[in-house]
Amino acid sequence: MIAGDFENLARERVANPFFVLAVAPDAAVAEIERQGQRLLSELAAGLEGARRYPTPFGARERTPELVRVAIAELRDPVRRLAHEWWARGLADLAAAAP
Amino acid sequence: MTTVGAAMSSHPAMVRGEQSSPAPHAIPPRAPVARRRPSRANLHATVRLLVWTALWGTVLRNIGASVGVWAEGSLGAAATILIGVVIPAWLFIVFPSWFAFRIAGPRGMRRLAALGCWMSPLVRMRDLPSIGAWFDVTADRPCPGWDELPADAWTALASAVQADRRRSPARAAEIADALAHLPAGARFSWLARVHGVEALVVSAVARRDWATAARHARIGQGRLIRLLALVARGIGGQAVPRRQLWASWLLAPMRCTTFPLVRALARRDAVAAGARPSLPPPPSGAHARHVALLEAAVRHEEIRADEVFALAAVWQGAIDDAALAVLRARALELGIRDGAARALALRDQVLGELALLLARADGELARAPGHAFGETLAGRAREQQLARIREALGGLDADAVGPALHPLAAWERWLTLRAAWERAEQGGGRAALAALWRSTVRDSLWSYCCALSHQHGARAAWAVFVMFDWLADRAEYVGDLVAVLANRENARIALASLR
Repeated sequence: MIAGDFENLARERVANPFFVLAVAPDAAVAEIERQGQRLLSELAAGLEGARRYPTPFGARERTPELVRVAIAELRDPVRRLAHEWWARGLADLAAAAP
Repeated sequence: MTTVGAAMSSHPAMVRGEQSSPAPHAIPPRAPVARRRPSRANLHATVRLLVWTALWGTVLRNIGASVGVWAEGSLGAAATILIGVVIPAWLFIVFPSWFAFRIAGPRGMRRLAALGCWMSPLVRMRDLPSIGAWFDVTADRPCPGWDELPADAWTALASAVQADRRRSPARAAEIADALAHLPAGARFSWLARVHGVEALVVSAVARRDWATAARHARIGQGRLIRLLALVARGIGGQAVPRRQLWASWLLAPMRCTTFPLVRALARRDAVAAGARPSLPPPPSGAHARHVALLEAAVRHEEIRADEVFALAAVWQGAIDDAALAVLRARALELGIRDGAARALALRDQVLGELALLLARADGELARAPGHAFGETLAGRAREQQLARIREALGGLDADAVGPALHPLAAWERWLTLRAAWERAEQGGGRAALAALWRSTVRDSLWSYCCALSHQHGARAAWAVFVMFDWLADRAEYVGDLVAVLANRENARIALASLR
């Protein structure tokens, strides 16, 4: 049970919607929606560059489901607050990385 | 097998004024045996011995006769000893198991592998069915006779391989840990340590899970396991002498498969010796360190309680009142009404995850730093550990032990309790554990072991011996001397039926 807990938590942190959508934590709602739709179109078209997204812990696979979930998460202000807080904290590491 | 619990079934013992002993199922009295007949197992063992004698006698005679005729008395003493003693001894002792595990088994020739084991003096007659099941499991074949098998080291290893393939490394790790701490007398044969453990180590290496490979290698023996443990150490960042690495590779089997691995490690070490490349600095922020520890837990790496407390100290500054005020302000900007509660919920979530990490970490929780944050964290971790013990205890119901519950499955249920208890014991919560022991653990597990012993008899003897011995050790830890004596006696009886 414990290993599963850690796996879910780690995945949740690394699949932060701001990383998945590649937008800044202070991005406006309209910008988030626009970026989400753009990524969905690129994934549908099979563009290679859209298939992975960078995180402070290395590149991860991006899927249409992940993008849809990210958009939905950021529409809820309460959930956005939490994701924003984690994304800001982890972005410091990304900025420090070579 | 009659356990002390069984002997007390009609008169429950009183421990320190309480009725504490379980009321295990009574053993039905057996009819006296008038005349002792040779059992089926003894007959098989005799036939096996006769076949060995006839076959190896013929082989030895033929070798001696043909070499003697061919050499015409020209061989020296060394050559005579080599041909007349060393080679036949190797053929008789080592060759059958080598053939079974290195040639027939990996190629899916199960019957031939079983024959090789039957011919090997290193394999006990009673281990043969379990080894057969292990061959089936490693070859991903159904094992028809599994329900009839005893619980022993081979079936435990087969179960670990099965768990490993079903992507349940935590269960495989629990089994490996229990096998690493078997009490003296619980058989874990040399062949099982070499070939049984090898399958687990190779599987971990194949998916590049070096931490798991190194952990499994601790219970194994043999040249390949030694090599893979060395490689795992090297990849884990420890210094590995190149000469030792190449020597281990040369001695180990599967040289073609392991060559690229060994060469890459040796080259990397050579580069590092010339000019050590600068390693990326460890993450310094609270958020990044937090995620890094979560990922280490996912990879089943060891986490020290000190590391978690150090992270908690960093978090203390990152989620202090000033940080919460910033969060509240941002919540207002986003239109969230109860911003203060949301900010506190985030703080609580971080604390919960830290407690989860601490409950999983090795090391004492008693060494929590003096600040309130550290104490809260240690308290939560202890609660989680105790909750995990209670949860594991739920699966150990003596009334649920029946013919359908295989002794190994029953033993695996106990493994969950063992892991939870030992984690809590490491944390140093002796008083809480003593209370839990007296209130539930002692009697429940005692009843469970007795019920298992009565239900399955000799098939469960290995598992029951290990569990009773563990119970006695835990009783000693919490200072329950009556339970220590009773469980040592039960362990002794189980061991006697194991032999």
